[in-house]
Amino acid sequence: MDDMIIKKDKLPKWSSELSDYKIFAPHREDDVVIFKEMKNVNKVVLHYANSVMPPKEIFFPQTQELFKYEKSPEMKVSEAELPLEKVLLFGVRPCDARSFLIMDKLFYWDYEDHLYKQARDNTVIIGLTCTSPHHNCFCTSVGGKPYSNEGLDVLMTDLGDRYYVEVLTEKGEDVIRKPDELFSKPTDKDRKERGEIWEKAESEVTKNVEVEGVHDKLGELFESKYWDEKSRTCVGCGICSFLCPTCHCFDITDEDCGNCGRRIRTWDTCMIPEYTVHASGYNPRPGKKNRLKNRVFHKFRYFPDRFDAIACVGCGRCISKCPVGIDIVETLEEVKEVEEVEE
Amino acid sequence: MSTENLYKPHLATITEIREEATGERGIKTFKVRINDDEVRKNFKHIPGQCAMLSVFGVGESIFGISSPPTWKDFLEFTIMRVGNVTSALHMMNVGDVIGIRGPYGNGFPMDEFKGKNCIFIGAGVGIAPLRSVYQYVLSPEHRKEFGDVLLIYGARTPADLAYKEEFEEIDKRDDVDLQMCIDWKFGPEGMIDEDAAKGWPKIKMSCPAETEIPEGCNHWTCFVPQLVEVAAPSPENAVALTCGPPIAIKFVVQNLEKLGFSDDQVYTTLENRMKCGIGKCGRCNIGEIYVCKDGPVFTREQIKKMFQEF
Amino acid sequence: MSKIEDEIRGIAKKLLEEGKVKYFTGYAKGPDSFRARPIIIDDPKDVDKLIWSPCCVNNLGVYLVDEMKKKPKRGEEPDTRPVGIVTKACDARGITVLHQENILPKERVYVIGIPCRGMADPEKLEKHARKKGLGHDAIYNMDIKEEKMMFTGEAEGVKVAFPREEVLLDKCKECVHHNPREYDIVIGKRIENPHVDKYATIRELEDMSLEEREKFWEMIFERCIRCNACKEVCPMCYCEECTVEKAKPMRWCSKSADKSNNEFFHLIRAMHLVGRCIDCGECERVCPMAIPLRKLYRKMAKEAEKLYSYEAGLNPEEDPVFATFRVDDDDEFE
Repeated sequence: MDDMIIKKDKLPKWSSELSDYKIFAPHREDDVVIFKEMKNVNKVVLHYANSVMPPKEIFFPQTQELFKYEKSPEMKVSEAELPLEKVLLFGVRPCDARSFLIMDKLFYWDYEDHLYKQARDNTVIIGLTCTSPHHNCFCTSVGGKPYSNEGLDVLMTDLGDRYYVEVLTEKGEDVIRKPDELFSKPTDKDRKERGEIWEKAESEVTKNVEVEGVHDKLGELFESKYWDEKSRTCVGCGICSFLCPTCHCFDITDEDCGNCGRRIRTWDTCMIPEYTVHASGYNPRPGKKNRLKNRVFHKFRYFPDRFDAIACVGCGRCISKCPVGIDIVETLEEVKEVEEVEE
Repeated sequence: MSTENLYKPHLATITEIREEATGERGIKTFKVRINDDEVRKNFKHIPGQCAMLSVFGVGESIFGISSPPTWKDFLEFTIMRVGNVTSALHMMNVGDVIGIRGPYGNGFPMDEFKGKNCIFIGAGVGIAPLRSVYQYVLSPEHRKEFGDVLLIYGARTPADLAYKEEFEEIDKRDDVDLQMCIDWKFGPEGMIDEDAAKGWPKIKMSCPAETEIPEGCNHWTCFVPQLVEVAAPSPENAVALTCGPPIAIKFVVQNLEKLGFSDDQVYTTLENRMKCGIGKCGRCNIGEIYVCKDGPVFTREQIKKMFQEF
Repeated sequence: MSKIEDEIRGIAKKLLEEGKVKYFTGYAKGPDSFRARPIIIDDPKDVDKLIWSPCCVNNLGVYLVDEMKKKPKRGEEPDTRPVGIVTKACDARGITVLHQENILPKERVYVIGIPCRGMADPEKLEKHARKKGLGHDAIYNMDIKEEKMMFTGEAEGVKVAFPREEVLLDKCKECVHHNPREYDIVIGKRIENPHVDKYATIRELEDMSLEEREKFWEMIFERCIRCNACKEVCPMCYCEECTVEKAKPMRWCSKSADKSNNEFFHLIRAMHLVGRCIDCGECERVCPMAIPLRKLYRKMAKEAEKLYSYEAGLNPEEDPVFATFRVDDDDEFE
């Protein structure tokens, strides 16, 4: 489909045409921007660097039922209800959209995770070019761009009073309703303006790190004292994992109500000792250093080795929100500099 | 592409429970029969593979399947009581229903073992996953496919030895060399250089390899790695499979090395905390390896290449 | 460099050189102009990394709890020398609570107490700087100018001023205990404690009806993602196994991050902090979902003060409020 232009004042009309979709869009609640179901298009916020929580929860909810069970009169296991409605995810930043492709690799390798796939297949993703990157953003270092269209069905770019709309997939075409009435053809001026905005946005991503070589260097640093030093002030909370658009680990537990109950999966974090401790009490990753190291290694070595992609999209959330100022970009820079002293 | 719910277990009924060892960390063997005929028929495993067992309301844990695929219609799991799920399992009775999903993991490469002499070395509850292999090798259907079989097994005390009756049967066979041991007793000065129990003569502690073996004696007082030295299997055209607590494996492997076994001849199993069993939940990784998918069976060669974090 | 910063470095250097402390916990320059971060140093050569600025918001007491949980390696003689630590008045009260609760023996810590009129909120600093056209990393040498009631920094050699009232952390505006009471050494002059409403943050809530309050918290709790940052940064949350995570023999609090379990989590935590929370505000600062946790704990603190005339961490000789009993104690909550 050809590129299009939509005037901002036509957004309400457009969204009303999409009533067959459940729309999730960024909303501001107190001081945080989060993706929520849209009830009123005017409540949607589109001027923000990025949401506090990545929209990964649409595909991989923090709490998800796997199945229900009944213990009496006889043991019975029944399917969890799968949400079947079509979902429109609106206003996704390009970095977060790339995270979906990274998560796909995990959830689709070997066994296909039906819950994830269901949500993924039912969802159309409309992205929004990141026009004012946050100072902790470093998407360009890990293969992204503020205007990357990877993982998106539609990419929109804010041109002031209108959006430049690129339809990228068939799924994307489905959300272009009443094209003659709501949309118009872009002019050369629109194209030029979009190009300028893209260029400016890219130049504003100032935090960067050369990741080339990090993979191999990490391989030399598995036993390094560097991790003892680096992890010393880590408090072992789950902020970096829970806010990470590519972190995908989960726990499985039973929620029992006596005669019946359900099994759920919930987000988990490799930053806590419980994550790896064996029933015997033995823990292969007993210290903060083992856990912090694992997180860095997982993103920049293990995941690339396994799935041929860095498991980081450079959204900068872990940097902005770490209670003790641990900065992944700084960590990578240090990793490159560490010289192992033979003892 | 399947849209099957991979996390939903099949229902299965416990048809028999055998107490293998008592004590705080008791061991029981559960004979389990999958309720659905179709599912039961299709549940085909390779020796060494695992399955997720559920106690509904308590949770799910992964266990090595301790029966060989040649035993039809049921599966056996030999389980030590250590955590929540295992404790709940130990409290269950015959007729109780649990959940099962699997089989998971790689299992032992049985085809590669064909024509070779097989050495099994199990310490403690580590005998459970090995049992699925040696019972496969010893089965009438497959015995001819393999060479000589040496089976080494040790536990702390005679009471801790699992599969007692089964070993009595195996002991009667002339196509297996069975060697068993119980641990040295400990005094305030360390190991006591005497028989730990009647009928379990001690080996030569200072130099196990020099132990004189009287005709027909195959019960010893010693540690499993020492028994490897006593039995001194030849590495020629052989594979060694070992399973047990990490410290026992460490010394078993050292002693196999001394006997001339190369790293690709030695197989062991690794375990890690797992939740999903299908390479999604994340926690069982050692480097880029998912123990649940790529393991639990690894050669010594593979293990040496891993980041040593297990 | 401020005088206080100078003194911290001097003391740390001496302590480390003489081997009087096992290591030293303080603040260092953070990832940007407006954030300091904790640093733990062993080598006296590193003391120049220590800073003192209006960005020293973290409560470092959490690392003392870490230290007490460390188990010596087998065969190793445990190093029981004290740990050196920089504390603001509120952080020092936290250490007092740890003393009272027998978590941290006095001889295991060497406290540098600093009278403090309040620290700056990094986000407010950033906003203020942005108004002046200055970015997140344009400013250096952030300093506290007590006499002028302001914070200052420099950008390209030019002084930048931040009026204290505009950039102060909310909790600091409500603080009435500016001076540390328990310390091994104090740096800086004693500060007159102000007469402000220390429970200001909950006034609005208290005026609400029960239904309104319920609604208020419901929406907020729903947002919680259970990252546990609030409890991990809290020096008072030192349990080996937290009630809400306890899974053996059964799980009290489901891992479901839903309204009811989140509420359970937060209310349990609030109950466990009565008479113990010293309002360092770390939980609220680190919460990525902007949950106003202080409101919960301040309300509990207010009740404890009203009922038992007790405020946490003021007197090391006093027993913790819930470890004592008087016949005339009121046992009803409002």
